[in-house]
Amino acid sequence: MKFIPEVDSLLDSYLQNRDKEVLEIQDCLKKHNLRQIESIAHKLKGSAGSYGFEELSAVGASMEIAASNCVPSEVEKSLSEMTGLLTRVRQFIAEQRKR
Amino acid sequence: MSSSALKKIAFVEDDADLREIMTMSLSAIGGFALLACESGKQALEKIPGFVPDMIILDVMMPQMDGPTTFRELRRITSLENIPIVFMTAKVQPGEVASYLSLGAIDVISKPFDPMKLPEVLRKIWEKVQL
Repeated sequence: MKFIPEVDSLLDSYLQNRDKEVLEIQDCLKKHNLRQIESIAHKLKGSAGSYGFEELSAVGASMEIAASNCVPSEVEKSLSEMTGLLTRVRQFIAEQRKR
Repeated sequence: MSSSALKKIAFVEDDADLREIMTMSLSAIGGFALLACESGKQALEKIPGFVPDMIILDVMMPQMDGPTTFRELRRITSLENIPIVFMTAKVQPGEVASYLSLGAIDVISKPFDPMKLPEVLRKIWEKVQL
């Protein structure tokens, strides 16, 4: 996890959008819309690391593969990792901002 | 092709969060004049009036993907020689080769380091000038 001061002003919005995606992925799982999840995960893979969150990019990559292979249980596992990481990322950012 | 410094960049990216960070990286850090487009269709409408030094294209986009946008941009006379770089989270060797065979001058992988992206593009630009 990396804090990039120049990116700080974009972080809150970025994380809020990920919160919305968590809800969207949950909804897609209920509807068995794995294709949409694959698209969301692909974007997560591409964007998170650019904001300094490589672990979140890795989760996006895992989720993309799981959705592509039509394995909902693996998508759920990645989603759980994503929500946990979002909490950790927020804690990390809060700590960095105190410095 | 101009031998001047890289100054104007147009990029096409459907992900709003990536457009935000690319704008920060290329404008605030890189100091480039920028045109951000959210789709291939918008790129075809706006880029001819901007006439950039370089174009960056996302590969996976709905409706019109990066390679299709590439071919359509190349049909516009004023843009036919503008260097185009693909940016993608899919960087398997075969895919990179296919983008280069289209005529792209380079392929940048996502995620990217926003602090280093301007320098990466300047190096690509210098390579094109040789």
